[in-house]
Amino acid sequence: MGLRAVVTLSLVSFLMGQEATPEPAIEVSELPQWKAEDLEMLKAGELIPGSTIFGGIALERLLSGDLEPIELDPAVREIPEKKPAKEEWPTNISDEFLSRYFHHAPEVFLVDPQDLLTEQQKQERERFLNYHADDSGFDLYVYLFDTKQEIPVGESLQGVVLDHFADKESTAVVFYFMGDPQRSELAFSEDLSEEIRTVNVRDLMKLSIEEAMQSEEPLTQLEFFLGQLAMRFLGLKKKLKEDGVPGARLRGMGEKEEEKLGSLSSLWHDFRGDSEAFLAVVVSVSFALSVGLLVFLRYLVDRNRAFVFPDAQGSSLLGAPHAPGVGSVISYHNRTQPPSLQRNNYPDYLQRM
Amino acid sequence: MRCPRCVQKIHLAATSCPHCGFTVEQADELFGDQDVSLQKFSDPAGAMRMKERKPMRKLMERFEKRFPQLFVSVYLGAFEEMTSIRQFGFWLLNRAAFSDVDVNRPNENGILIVVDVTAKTAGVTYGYSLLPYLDDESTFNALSAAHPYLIQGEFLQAIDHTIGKLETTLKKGWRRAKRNPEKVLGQIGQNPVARTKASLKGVREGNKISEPREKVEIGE
Repeated sequence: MGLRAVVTLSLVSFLMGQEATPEPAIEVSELPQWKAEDLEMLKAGELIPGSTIFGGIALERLLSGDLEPIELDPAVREIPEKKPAKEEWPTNISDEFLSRYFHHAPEVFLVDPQDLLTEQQKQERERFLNYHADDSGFDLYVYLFDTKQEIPVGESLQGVVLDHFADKESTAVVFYFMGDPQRSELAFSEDLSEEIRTVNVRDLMKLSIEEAMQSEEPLTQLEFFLGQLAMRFLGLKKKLKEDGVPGARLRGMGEKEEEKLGSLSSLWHDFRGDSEAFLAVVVSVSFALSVGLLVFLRYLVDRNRAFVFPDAQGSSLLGAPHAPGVGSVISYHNRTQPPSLQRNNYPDYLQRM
Repeated sequence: MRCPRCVQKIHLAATSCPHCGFTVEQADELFGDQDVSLQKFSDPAGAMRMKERKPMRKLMERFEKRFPQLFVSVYLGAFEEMTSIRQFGFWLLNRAAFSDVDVNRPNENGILIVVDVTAKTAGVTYGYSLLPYLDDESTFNALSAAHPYLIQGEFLQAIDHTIGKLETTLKKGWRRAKRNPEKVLGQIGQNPVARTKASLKGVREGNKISEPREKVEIGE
């Protein structure tokens, strides 16, 4: 054994000795144990399980056989029973928030002075509304209120729009009540309110509220509501851009149908305005219909038509009396070989070997 | 025009193939020199189901209704040894007396579709009267339309598609001939003749069974 092995062995032994050193024991009280006399006492009715928990008074009472109810100390009896606190929903908006709601133009898209959302939730919604504004060019301001809160007398959504959004274009403002999307309100800035009919606003809200009601969780409801509203606004904005003229109002139906009908309507107006194009299309359509009718009639005629060929003199090719023996042959034994590969596949029987 | 045996191009007036010397007599030597009596739909191979035979006949009747001078015959055979389906088609259309074909529809006006279910080949042959309207290309296209059905063994569908394609080609030919019959018939060195019953009957008489015939073993 070399010196190196001796040193290694010593080091290992030292380390093992270190690990084996016992730590100071923690003193724990022993668990109670059943004894034989306990069982005897239990059988004799002298031991009542749980009596140590209820206390000596209860034990004595049980053992005495006294069935008279215990009279509580009057001082104890008078203590009023605590009733579970009712969840009180605030209906009023504190004065300290009123100013930020109704008296100042918002600087961000989400107005939540009461901090109904956490900071993180606010940031998420803000990000969404900013993205929506950039993407669609349609600003959506959302004022958050608590479930039962009432808009103070003298204040209204229309008032807010008039006061703070009068000079803004393509803007929608929503009063949203957390947990109760059905109370939500929507208004548009002046430029849009002239173009969009009330019935369309109702439809937008109806669809968004229905989407929100898919969930029972207030935050998810808000998320669904805004998502649906933003999506509908995209279509609305596109439609308004396409129309470009006052009076081309949306119809009270689904967005897709609105788009289709709207574009058709605008096309029709343009079309009627250009008499030459109108005439050209009328002529083209009439021509196409006539051709179609002729084709159909020809089909009907051909269907029952008998095709009689001019008779021709016979021949005697290869001495054959009736048929010259021409025509094609196709092979179908190979599933992978398409017919096109056989088109000119004539065997050359005369080829020299 | 191609020789049924060597498939080389030959002249329309050739009485024998200048390349291989093939004539109808040599086909007779191969398949039998007796006329064959058979129906326009023959299935000695038993390739078609019973329930398909009636629709098959309907197909043929429909064709005959549209083309009062023409007929289609279908032969589904299972040949042990077949020299050439071309030669067989050539021979059969020249030697067959179709018992259920009207006398006004001679073999010159017939289209014969032969399917060899053993060798898995199919061919189309037609009479002299159809030379101006059908050719290698059109018959090949008609058979190509049937190819997927032939692979599946759906012979009724295959024949239906083949006939359908042939009908389309014939209709086009009919329109061409209607506009300029001399030109169309002139392409094959023929002239239009007055269509009389006598002339048709004369052609058809060649198919009549004039005396008792021996049964011919096809393919031997």
